[in-house]
Parts: sequence; C-alpha cells; structure tokens
Amino acid sequence: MLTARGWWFALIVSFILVMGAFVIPNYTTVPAILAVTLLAWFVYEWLQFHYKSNAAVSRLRVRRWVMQGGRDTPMLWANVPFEIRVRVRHTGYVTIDYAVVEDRLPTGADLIKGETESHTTIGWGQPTDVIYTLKCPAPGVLRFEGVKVRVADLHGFFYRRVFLRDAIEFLVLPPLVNAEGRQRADKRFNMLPPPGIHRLRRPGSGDELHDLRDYQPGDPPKMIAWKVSARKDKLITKEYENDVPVRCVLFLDTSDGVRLGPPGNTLLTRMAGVTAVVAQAAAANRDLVGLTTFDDKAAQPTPPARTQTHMINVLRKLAEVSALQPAPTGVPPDQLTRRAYPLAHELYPELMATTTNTMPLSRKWNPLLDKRWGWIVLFIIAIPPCLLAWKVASIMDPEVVRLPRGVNRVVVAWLSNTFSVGVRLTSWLVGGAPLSVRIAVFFVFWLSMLLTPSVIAGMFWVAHGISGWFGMATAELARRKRLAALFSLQDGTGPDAIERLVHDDEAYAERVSRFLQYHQLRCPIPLYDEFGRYRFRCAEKADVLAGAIVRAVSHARDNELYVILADISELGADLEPLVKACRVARARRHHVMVIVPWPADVPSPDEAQEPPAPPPEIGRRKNKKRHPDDFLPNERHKRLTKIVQANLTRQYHESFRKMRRLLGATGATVMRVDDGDPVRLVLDRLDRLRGMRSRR
Amino acid sequence: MIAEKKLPAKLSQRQVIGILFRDRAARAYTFSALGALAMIFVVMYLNGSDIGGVLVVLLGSAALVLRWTAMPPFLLLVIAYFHACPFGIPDFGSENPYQVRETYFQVADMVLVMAILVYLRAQYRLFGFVHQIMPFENVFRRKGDVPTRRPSSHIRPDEIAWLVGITGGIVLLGQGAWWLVNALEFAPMENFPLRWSDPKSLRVFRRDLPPGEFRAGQHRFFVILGAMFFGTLLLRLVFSYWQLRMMSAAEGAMVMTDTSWAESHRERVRVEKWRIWGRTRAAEAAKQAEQERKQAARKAEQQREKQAAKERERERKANRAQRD
Repeated sequence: MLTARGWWFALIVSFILVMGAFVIPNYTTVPAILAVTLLAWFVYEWLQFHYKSNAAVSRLRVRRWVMQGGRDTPMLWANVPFEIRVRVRHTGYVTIDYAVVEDRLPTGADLIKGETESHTTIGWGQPTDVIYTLKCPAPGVLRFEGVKVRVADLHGFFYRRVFLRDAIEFLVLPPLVNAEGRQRADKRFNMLPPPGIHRLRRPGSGDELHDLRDYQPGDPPKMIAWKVSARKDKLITKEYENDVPVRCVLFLDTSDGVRLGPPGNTLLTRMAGVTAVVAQAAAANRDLVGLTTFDDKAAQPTPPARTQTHMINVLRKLAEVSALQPAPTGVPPDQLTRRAYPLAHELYPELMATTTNTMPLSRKWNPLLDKRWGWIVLFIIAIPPCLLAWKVASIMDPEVVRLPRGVNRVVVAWLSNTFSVGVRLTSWLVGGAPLSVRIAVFFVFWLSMLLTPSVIAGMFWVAHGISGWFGMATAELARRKRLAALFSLQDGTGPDAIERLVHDDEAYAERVSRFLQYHQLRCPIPLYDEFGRYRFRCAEKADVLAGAIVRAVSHARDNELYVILADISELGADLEPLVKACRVARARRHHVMVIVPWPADVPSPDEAQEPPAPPPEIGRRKNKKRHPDDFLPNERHKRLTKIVQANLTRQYHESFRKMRRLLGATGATVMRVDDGDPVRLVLDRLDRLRGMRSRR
Repeated sequence: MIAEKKLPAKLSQRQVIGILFRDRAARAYTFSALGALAMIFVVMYLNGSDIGGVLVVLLGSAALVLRWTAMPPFLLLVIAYFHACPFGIPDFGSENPYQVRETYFQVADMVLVMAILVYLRAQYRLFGFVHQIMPFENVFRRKGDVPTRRPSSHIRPDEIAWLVGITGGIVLLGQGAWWLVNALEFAPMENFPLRWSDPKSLRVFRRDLPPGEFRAGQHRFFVILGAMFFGTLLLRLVFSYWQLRMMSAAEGAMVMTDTSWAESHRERVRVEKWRIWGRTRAAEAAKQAEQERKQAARKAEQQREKQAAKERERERKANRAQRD
C-alpha cells in the first residue's frame, strides 16, 4: 500500500526527527519541528487513505451493458461494432479523490472507439462510466473479466489496486452472410443427372407421380386413378413422390490441431467462418443444414433442419467451437507459471496478496535430510555430544557398556588432548584469575573444542537450509504455491491440494492449463515432442469422423451432401476408416466434399516449386578456403532453416496429394480452403443436387 | 489545455514545461511550489544561511522542471543541515539547554515549515501530472509499462485552497505536537507513566539526577517512542478490524485455507514426497515388468523358432529317408 515514494519520504523524515529531536535540539529545534509536522502530515494522509480505502474502495460495485444496434444484447455478431458501457459506483458516503478505472479488454476484440480507462473521482451518488466501442473480427466467445480500479492519494504515497470481478461471457456469432452468400440459386443447371444416379424414392405428398397401387380402405377418393381403375376394373390409388429437400451435413473438425494459432486467426476459426456462410446460404435456399463437430474423442451431431432456431443454434455452436483452445500438453510447468501467475495476480489481487496467501520462510527452508549425504552431516552433529554423554555416564557408572577398543582409544585421545589444550589456553589467558573463573573459562574452552564438529556441521546445516530462501527456484516455488492455493480455493479441495499441486507436475500443469483456458489466455505450446513428432496430428479423429459419416448416412433420407471441413492432410495411413466411410456414403449416392485448411506459411501444392538454391560457390583457387557456414553461424542457421522448411513443405505437399488421391478415388471432391471460393463450390454442388431432383 | 490532449507515454521536456507553465489548472501548483521555495529562501536568508537558501531554490526549481523525484526528500536534508549549520560549515555553535523551551509557536519557524509543506505538497502533486502518480504493477519496470499520470483536467478548482488550508492546520498541529512532546515527562514509577513537566523547573538539567528521573532528551525519547508505538498499534488494530469486517467471502476462505496449510505444511510435504516416490517406484516396477515380459516373449519366440526348426529338420530327414 505504501509506495516507494512514501517509503523514502517516511525514512528521511524519521531520520530528521531522530537528528532534530535527540542529537541537535539544544542547537536548533527547527529540524525537529519540521520533522514532527511532516510526520503529522504523513499520518494525516495515511489515515485519510486508509479510511477511504476501507469505506469506499471495498464497496465499489460494477455494472456492464453490452449494446449492439442501440440495445442491450445477449449475443454479438462478428465484424459488427458494439458498445460497452461500464458503470462503477460505491455504496459508501466517502469520496475517492482519484481513481483510475480500467476495463479489462477481452481477448479477441479490437478497440474501435473510446478508451477503456478513465481518470475519475468517485463520490457518493456520482458513479463513473467508461464507454467504448469494440469489434470482434472472428466468431468465438468474448469474456469480460471485470474492471481494474487503482486508487492513489494525490501525492503518490499510497496506492491500492482492486479488481472488481464481473465475469460475463458473450457468444460472438459468425458474421451474417454477404450478398454472395445470400444469392438464391435461381438459375438451374441445364443438365441431367449422371448415369446411375437415382433419387431415393418414397411415397409422399409431392407433385410427381411415384407409383400406382391397389386401393386400400381409408385412401382419399381424390387419390384414386379413375382411368386406370376403369381399365383394370378395380380401384387403384395414385402415390406421389415424397418432396424431400436437399440436405447438407457439415462436418467440422475441432481437434487440437486446428485450434493452434493466434486467437481469432486459427484454422478452426476460418473453417467455422466457411461453415457459417455455407449454412446460412443453404438455409436461405430453404435447404436443410446439419452440423457435426468432432475431435479425436467424440462427435456431436446436430441433425439437419431449416428453422430459424436451428440456424441460431448452429451459429451458437460454431461460436462456441471457435473459442476452443488447444490443450497445452507438454508445456513445462515453469512456463505455465510464467503465464498464469501475472494473470492470477491481475484478476485476483486480494487472493494473491502476501497477507492472505502467505509463503512462510519455514516452507522455503532447504531440508538437509532430503539428500543422502545430509544424514552424514546429522551424524557429525550428533556424535560428539553422544560420546561426551557416554563418557560422563561411564565415569558415573562403570557398568555402562564399553565401546569397541579402537573407538574407545580414539575417544579417550580426543578427550585428553582437548582437555590439555583447554588447560593450557586457560592458564595462558586467565592465569591470574580466581579459581572459579579459571574453571568456568576452562569448561567453556573445552566444551567448545569438544563440540567443534557439531558446531561446524550445524552451521553447515543452517547455511544449507537458508540457501533455500534465495534464488530463482525459491521464487518459482512461492509463485507455484500461491497459484496452488488459489486453485485449491476455486476447486474447494482445501489445503490438501496445495502441496499436491506444488509437488505433482502433471496435476499442476493440467490445472494451470484449465485456468488459462478458462480465462482465454493462450500459452506457447511445443508443436513437436522429444522425438520430433508432430504433437497435434490427432490420428483418432479419422475414426470419429468415419463413425459420424456412417451415422449420417444411416439417417439420410435422400441424396445428401456431406461437407467435411477437417485437417486430415497429414493422417496418411490413418485415413483408412475415413476412406471406407466415404465409400459407404458414395455407395448410397451421397456427395462428399472435403475442404482442408491450409497453413498460411505453406505455399500451394499447385505452385511450381523453386529449385533449392545451389550451395555458395567456393573458389577453387585456394583449396583450403573455409566454407562460409564455418565462420558465419547466422548464415548457416538461415540455410538450415530454409532446408528444413523446404523439406517440411515438400512432405506436407506429398501427404496432401496422397490424401487427395485416396479420397478422390472414392468419388469425394477434395479442395483447399484457400483455393478459390469453397463456399461458392459447396453452394454450386447443392444447386446441382437440387437440379438433379428438378430435372430427374 | 495541454493536458486535455492525448499525451504520449513518455513526455518530452517541452511538454513538461508546457504542462507546468501553460496549463491553467497545473500552473497554480507550479507557482505555489515556486512561491514556497521563495519563502524558504527568505526565511533561510534571514537566518543567515544565504548559501543554503540559494541552494534550496536552485535544487527545488531544477527538481520541478526536470522531474527529479528524489529531490524533495533530499531538499529536506539540505534545509535541516543549513539550519543546524547556517554557513554550511559543520559547526553547530554553542549549546543552549533552554533552546527547546524557547521555540514554541515562533512565527519564523511556522512560516518556514508552512512553506516547506506547501512546496512538498505542490511538488508531489506536480510529479503526478508530469511523471507518475501510481507505481508500476511490477516491482521492476518492464518493457511496455506505461506510467500513469493524473490528467490536469482532473484538478478541482478548489484544490489549491484546500491545500493551503490543510497545510496551515497541519503546521499548527505540528507545533502543538512538538509542544506536547516536551511538556510531558516519562514517569515509569508512577501509576500513569506520563506527567506534565514544570516549565520553570531546572530539575531536568541537573548533572546528578535522583534514581527514576530522566533528562529532558530522555523524556522526549520515551514520549516520542511511546506515542509512535501505541499510536501505530491503535491505528493498526482499528484498521485491521475494519479490514476484516470488509473482507469478502473468498478472501476469508483464502485466509482459512492458507492458515490451515501453514500449520500443516510439513506433514503435507512429507506425504506428497512419499506419494511421488511411490508413484515413481510403481512406474519403474511397471517398466521393468514390461521389459521382463518382452524378454520372456522374445525367449519364447526364439524357443518356438528353435522347435520349429527342429521339426522342419526332422521332417526333412524323414522325407529324405522316405525318398531313399
């Protein structure tokens, strides 16, 4: 609470007070009077700040309005600006002279207009407002944590920071489709269905005649085919085709691999954007749209429908999955702490304060007996007093068990030698003193010499223990303990969990990653494991996706379009279940499209590859001339990086081509998300399906 | 006004001077500080310390313009020094045991203290405009940390009046406190350890004091020490209790959890170490068992292959024998 400025001022004034009141008051009293007056002023400011801090700062309340289109809204749309109004007030009767109210900007939103902080005076009945405008470039979840209020006195001596937690989450729905997406496919393709393509015919209430059958009691008279009945001399009923609309099922990959990247610019966000546009355009054409999200563990299907509520639900789901973050597995605990600790300190200042969340020195003490050699030190500490006690006991009682002869000889020599040295030292130092003094001094010397090994070992023990109070490891331990205490409080696991989280790296990493995800803070994640393998391949998702496709096929009613938006380029041999599922779908006359996200830093596979740069020419004039890599490490690093990148790109292209070949063989269309306009292609395919029906 | 514009995180000297002298709201503080420095100079000059006065004015003005945040406390030391040694030479002069009794509520002292107080208050508030009013969040300034400055538009019109008024009150309070400190005597042998001193008595100046009696400086020491100790204790108790009353449920739960942990952390550490040790051992045992299983499987495979080879050999021999 006291700032460095306050500490220095108090220190200097105290010094002047001591000098003025106790050293030079008989020469001049002005320094003493000055110091007393300044001290009185300091105490006055201290009292005032404390009073206001308790009476007003602790009673601060916050209220938030999020407005889009001029009214309070529970959900937001991406790429549409919205206004935030935050009102901070307090219920006390005291005025806070100076406060800085700062609303914490959520991740994934851009500030368009206004400021998120306000320098203000908060009095009774005088709330302060912070108004600003934000825009979310991508769908997801927008989380407002609360408002940071910093209070200081006008001289900068005292300071307090509180965080008014008012956590609230808003779904940011994908943007509404643009003019292109809204376009109704009025133009029918003038084409016949390819040979072998047939509709799934079912009787229903359509316009086209499906079949004729014998009349059954209960059939409406208008369905009787009179001419045929007259010809056959029995009642025949007409059956019409079922008018099944075009159905499109979107399969969206939400596995960890597509969640990587900066917030709002992940592969998942881009795919969710494409999905949203396709879904809305299809719904605008009165087609049914379903959405199945899947990762490497499970799939969550939403059956096709075309109501407005269904579309909102689809958009909500897309917004939710867009906010998903990769699990930070494999991140070292200290790196997680470096991310989580400042965040916890910012959001929970009162719970992370050293007064409420302590770290006693005894916990930092470095225990000696954890080390094997610590027992040797303990032995050295214990053995001299024990031997001394044994000797005294043997003098008092001769029946005491004797030590082995060799050991006994050493002990006796040690006692007699120290005894004689003590006598000599005493007679040299206090030879003329009274007998009692000489005896006392002798015993002090003698015991000191006897117990010297114990004292030295004890000092070593203390030094070793105190060494635990300093260093980076101690600071890390303190941070980890404070975070563990916060987590144990949030989870309700009590003090048991604190030491568990401090000691168990796995449990700690899991809990910290949950904390970071909850507060939407991303952490740099290692992409490759210790063997150089890509960590986010998620091969199991092929099985899950295949299961979802087969399930969709089993629930299909007519020729449907399955659009798979998944990062499956690198699955290789693990694609087999997906290939089988695509075959099943194609066997039932369904269409399959695969849209693969493409990393921004990888060139297109259709582009011509540049030949690798030739190694720098080295003159042959001097055969012993050194290669540039030997004396230019930066150049060498650059060249190596280029080679690695080129190899990785080639490998990625190869795997993509293999995947395209495999799936293309089943009849599925494979394309990249950045290749042309995938939305247009999906809509065209839907039109084609619709055309097939209309043309038959 | 200058301050109403959006100022950069780091102010240039030109911008600082602009705030100090061209901003209407802030320049009242600037002139208050300069006026206070001038008054300090006058009082010190009258006291015979012209060098000290000039030094104070120069250093104070430089601190004002150049934002030397360490200067105000340093100026206090300079003023105190030049009051003890007006000519700057470290010589206190002759001792006057009655000095303390003769210096209550003297106009020159009050004017000087008032000027110093006005200067300090104005200077620190100006630092809030041109340097920083709140500390950084971290102990050490990190890259990207922007200092928080109070905008001059936040200055209330009556701030200077309140500043001067409260300063006058504090000056009187300080004089009263100094008088009280010297008017009280420490009497540890009596029921109440404080008593009023007799201003005309010369008892405290005797060389041979009776047992249980103290000199004037010792009385002052005990009174100041006692006032500081018991005052701090009282205020601490009051505000701590208040703080406990205002504590949120989460904060209270954290205090309870932390206390519980602090009382038992040794045992918990031991238990956790055993747990980790047990887990490591179990993992090692599992690994060893796995290796043994693989080894056994490999042996069995080799055995089977040997057996199969023998069988084949036997069959081959049998076939050959049959052929023969």
